[in-house]
Amino acid sequence: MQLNRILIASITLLIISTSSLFSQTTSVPSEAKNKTAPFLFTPETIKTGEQIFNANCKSCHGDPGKANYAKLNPIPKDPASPEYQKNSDGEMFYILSNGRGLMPNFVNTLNEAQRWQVISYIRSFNKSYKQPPIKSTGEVVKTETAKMILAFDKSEKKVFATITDSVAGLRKPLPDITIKLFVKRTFGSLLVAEASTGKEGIAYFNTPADIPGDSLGFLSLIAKTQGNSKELISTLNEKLGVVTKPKNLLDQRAWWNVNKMAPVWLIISYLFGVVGIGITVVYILLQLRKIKKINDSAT
Amino acid sequence: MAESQTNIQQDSTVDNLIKDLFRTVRLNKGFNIWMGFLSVSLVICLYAYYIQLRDGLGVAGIRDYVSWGIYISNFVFFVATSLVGMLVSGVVGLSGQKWVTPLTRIAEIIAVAFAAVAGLVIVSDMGRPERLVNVFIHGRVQSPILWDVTVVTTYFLISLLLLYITLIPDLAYGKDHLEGRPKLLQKLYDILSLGWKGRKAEVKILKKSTIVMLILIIPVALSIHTVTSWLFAVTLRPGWDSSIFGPYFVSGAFVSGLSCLVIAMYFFRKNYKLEDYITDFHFDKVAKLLVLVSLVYLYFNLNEFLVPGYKMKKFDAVHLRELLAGEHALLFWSVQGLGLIIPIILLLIKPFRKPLPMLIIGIFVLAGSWLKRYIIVVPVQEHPFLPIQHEPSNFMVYSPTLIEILISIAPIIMVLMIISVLAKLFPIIPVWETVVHKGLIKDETEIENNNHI
Ligand code: HEC
Repeated sequence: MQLNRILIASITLLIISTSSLFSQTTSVPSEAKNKTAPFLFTPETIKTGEQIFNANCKSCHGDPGKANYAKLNPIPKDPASPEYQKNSDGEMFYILSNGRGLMPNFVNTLNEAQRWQVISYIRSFNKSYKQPPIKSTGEVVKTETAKMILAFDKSEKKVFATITDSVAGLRKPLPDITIKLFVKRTFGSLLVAEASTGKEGIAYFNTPADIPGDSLGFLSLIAKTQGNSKELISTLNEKLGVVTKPKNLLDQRAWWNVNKMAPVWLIISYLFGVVGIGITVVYILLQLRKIKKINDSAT
Repeated sequence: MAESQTNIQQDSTVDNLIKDLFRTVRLNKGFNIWMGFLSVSLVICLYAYYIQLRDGLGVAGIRDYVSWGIYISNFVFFVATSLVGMLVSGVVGLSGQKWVTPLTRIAEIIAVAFAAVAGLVIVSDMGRPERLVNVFIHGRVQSPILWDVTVVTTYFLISLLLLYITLIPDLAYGKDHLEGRPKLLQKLYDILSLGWKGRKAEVKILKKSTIVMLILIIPVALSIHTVTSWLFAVTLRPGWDSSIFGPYFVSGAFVSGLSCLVIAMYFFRKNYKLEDYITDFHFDKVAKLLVLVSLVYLYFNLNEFLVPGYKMKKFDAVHLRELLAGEHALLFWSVQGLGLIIPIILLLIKPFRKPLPMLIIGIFVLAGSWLKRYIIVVPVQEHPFLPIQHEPSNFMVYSPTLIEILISIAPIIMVLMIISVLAKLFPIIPVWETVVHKGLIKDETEIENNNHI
């Protein structure tokens, strides 16, 4: 009995310590921390945010201010609590977009605007909250002469894009422009990274290493500038993907394939049937000839 | 000529029996009128087919939704009915049931006729029949259509061969019993009889060959209707997507084949005055066999409709509702009731197993069998998975046109013609076998055979 209790207690302890270890490791990157909402929080955004919260968050976080959150480990916290509210808007947005511990991410369930709307609702429980001034997340390319070049930095092993504009015959870097990087798929493109240009007009991308490439590992990358009057596009073919030997379904013997590629067992069965019947029929015909022979020789 | 048949022992009873059974081999006025009538009807139907050839399949009622109409229903019915040859000669005959002897040739003739025409029925559903060869040139061994073409052709050839083998001794008898018949017929008998004398060695070969054929015909017949069912069952369509379609079709085939046999038995007995050979006893036996196969078929029907009906999966439900309580309910329940359940009940009562009541029941069962094929083929297609867009409203419901009906009647006429001609050219009751079974001539191989077994 005693032993059992100790065992259970230690196992529980182990689970608690490991799981809280997990939550501590997930920290929010600094640039994400400083991200701000793209719009001002208003009674309207709070109202839609409330609906989104009730549909997606309430089951775990309970009613803000009532501390009736689900008994998970670590606890989801009451959104009205100071510990919860001490997150910056950017941090909340990051947690919502990436998930944390037992909390799932909401990138595919809620679009960016909706995520900010929930945050505006959560902030409505914080009397001392003042929305930070809206930071422009990226300059818009305004000129017709701007150019983007996508390239691969061999020493850094990173894809980067350079945006410049020609001013009086000289190419001048354009800073603070957000660029989205896509990988071309059979149908549509896959967003793999996002970055903003720095002072030199250069943006480095952190591309995942596990994207399936073609038979040589090449990926077809497309960079696009975001939300601008003139969309800049640049493409690059680089050996950044996992070598994938494409499997042609028509290379295997199958029901759906051409006659030549029929399953062997099927060909054998079919021939077995046809030849078997054929032999039997020939045998019968030979028997009939025998009857005829018996009688021909008799006369 | 008279000397050549000395080997066959004959006393006067045997001679009378043979004479009696050869009585029907002659062309009389009745037959000529009957064939004339069939020919004229056939010409009318073939004219309808000519119109279809000229103007295309649009003259039929089949459209984008229901593209398999009564042509394909007809095809399934024909393949089904041809299975009776295998059932009667193969299954019942091989199991040593001697009573079935006088019925085997009728069954085999039905089988040959229906199998021969089944292929033509398929052609009626083709807009470009001259492209039929493509099935053979470009056919894929993976396609049930190729299997179907293969087995139907094979079954026809085997049935024909079986019919011929069992005819050989009778053809030899013909030499002495065909006086006054056309010279050409006598010549035909002479060639086809292979000079049969009924020697022990010949009988042995013949018996062995017959048994081999009867064994072979069972799997081939099973496969023709199983493969025909797979033409439907390998698709994903609710109503066809079923794993019991093979046995469901085969048991249904026995029902339609036997009902066809009953009708044929009645007519041959009546018209050919064969009351001494096809007796009430035979009707009684066939009735019981029909009850048996009908019960099996009913059992498969129960499985086929009750199990999906219990689950009512999304798409199945649409189809089943139409069938059991909707648009097709009247047809469905009439077929199940009048074509299956009531016949079973009636045939369990002795007075209904007499020739005339059985004729009527047989007609109902046969008509039910045809309509059942319609129920299997057509309603399913009214609910496609993918909606078809911008179609005229008359595309959604199917109703066969007059031309289509005439074209579908043509194969039935052809079957009647083939049966009529074969039944006129050859004795409809196996003569030699009857003689042997009646013990009128000694079967010398019998004793040996028994020792072997
Ligand atoms: C499946 C339950 C669950 C759902 C649903 C859920 N969360 Fe969470 N949330 C958690 C848990 C558990 C934590 C604590 C995670 C940790 O610390 O490891 C958490 C933490 C958070 C935090 C960080 C609080 C802190 O610890 O600083 C925020 C912000 C948050 N959730 C917002 C939301 C919002 C907004 C929604 C709805 C869109 C939501 N959550 C839906 C379970 C959930």
